[in-house]
Amino acid sequence: MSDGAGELRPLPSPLLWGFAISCLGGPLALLAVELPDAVGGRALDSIGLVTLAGAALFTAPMLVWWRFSGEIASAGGLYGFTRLAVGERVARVQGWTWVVSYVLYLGFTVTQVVYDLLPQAFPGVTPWRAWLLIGTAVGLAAALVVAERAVLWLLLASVVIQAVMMVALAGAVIGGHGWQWGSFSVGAHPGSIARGIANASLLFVCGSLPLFMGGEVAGGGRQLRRIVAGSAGLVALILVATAAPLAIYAGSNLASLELPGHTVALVESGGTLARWLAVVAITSVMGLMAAEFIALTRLLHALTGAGVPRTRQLVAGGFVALAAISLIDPERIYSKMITPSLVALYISQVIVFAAYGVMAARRRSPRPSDLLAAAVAGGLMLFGLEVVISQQPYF
Amino acid sequence: MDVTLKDFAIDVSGGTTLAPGTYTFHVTNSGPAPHNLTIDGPGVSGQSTATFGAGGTADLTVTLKNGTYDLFCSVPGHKTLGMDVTVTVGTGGSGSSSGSGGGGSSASGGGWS
Repeated sequence: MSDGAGELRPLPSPLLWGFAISCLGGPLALLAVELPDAVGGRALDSIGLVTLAGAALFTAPMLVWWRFSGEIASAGGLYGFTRLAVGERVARVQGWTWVVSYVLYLGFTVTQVVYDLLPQAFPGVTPWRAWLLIGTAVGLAAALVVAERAVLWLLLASVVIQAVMMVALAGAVIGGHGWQWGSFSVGAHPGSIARGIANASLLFVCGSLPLFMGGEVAGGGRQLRRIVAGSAGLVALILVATAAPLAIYAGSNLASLELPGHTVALVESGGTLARWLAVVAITSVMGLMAAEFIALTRLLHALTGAGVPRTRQLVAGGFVALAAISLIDPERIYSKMITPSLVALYISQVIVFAAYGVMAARRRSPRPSDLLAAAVAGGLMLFGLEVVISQQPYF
Repeated sequence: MDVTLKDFAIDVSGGTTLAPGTYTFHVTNSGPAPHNLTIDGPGVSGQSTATFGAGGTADLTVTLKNGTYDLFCSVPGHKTLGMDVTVTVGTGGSGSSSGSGGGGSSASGGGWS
């Protein structure tokens, strides 16, 4: 594994914070796009509790990443962790599985943005979606190839704006309906709540992306893990606070909408907030795409030894090619890409947590907290795998 | 025919299919948000009650022909959130076409989509 220290310069701390927070959704997209669906319609009356418990459950994977980061920080990220724990052969399986997952996920996400999200708020774009798809993929790839540092500054600005929009949306709901303490109680469907908690927890899974910046952190792994855990904690706090008021939408179709935050803004505050919220939410999804792109370049650098400029070109070429291929059947291709992408993602994560469990068990005095964290984190990823394989809309 | 509006659903007392005729929908808003009842379909283009608050009532009289009608709340976002039902009007309907009169002209059976 080569981290190419000569190529990867330390990043300013604010850029790493912006990157790490962008990886979590981005946060506005979690609230306005993903969370209601993850919680599910039957548990929506307890969305505050579900989100809080989901975030708490994610401390298990976070603990594993925290402890791994204390031992190694590199552009290999999770691959580097696995290599340290169980050796090169298993680590390569883990690393390449992760690459497959996120290459497909990039292709999936750009199609979701252009074909699902944009038309919800801006129906006029419908005739132009094919051009927008290619334009978005080419534009994002070009920006990341020629001006990655500038994109990182944009991510930092974006997360600040996202936080403002989250507070604005929650403020509009609270202004109309008051604070919803009932959102933190167990509603009528405890089974749905339990499933919602696990689903909500999995929304934080992209929190591992900043680990691939391990070769660019001035303070090494100890600084990186503070940023990774701190950003997840911050996002969890603001997400719980801004999601809780959405309990008033229990019994509605909110959980089944493509862009539920847009509808909430429309109902509570009118078209202006709704349009801005849609724009920033879509931008936040694109921020996550940028983060995925950057993490892929670092991992490929670690796996192949190629320089980061070269891996940027490789990822850019693959991304644009996948976007072009998706035009064959753009209405359906994302649902075909998301399934293998998520299967690969959860398998790659299970390998990481199993590797950590093995490493922890080999110690002379294994810490129970290490074994428990590895077991819970691995179990959570297996739950994700089960959801992908068994539930709609993946099949 | 009684129609109850609430956050965010429309409950219609009555059946799946109505016979052609003139109906009066007696609309109650059980809230908490302000709502209205709007109807779209053959010969009926966006006829609606005023938007009124929780606890209020309003009547809406429309003449329904053969075809499919959309009953919804036109307050922005409410239809998307679930305040939207479809009723089919056809010769198989069991409702009376004898004119207005609330529940007296309602169809029987279930099956609103």
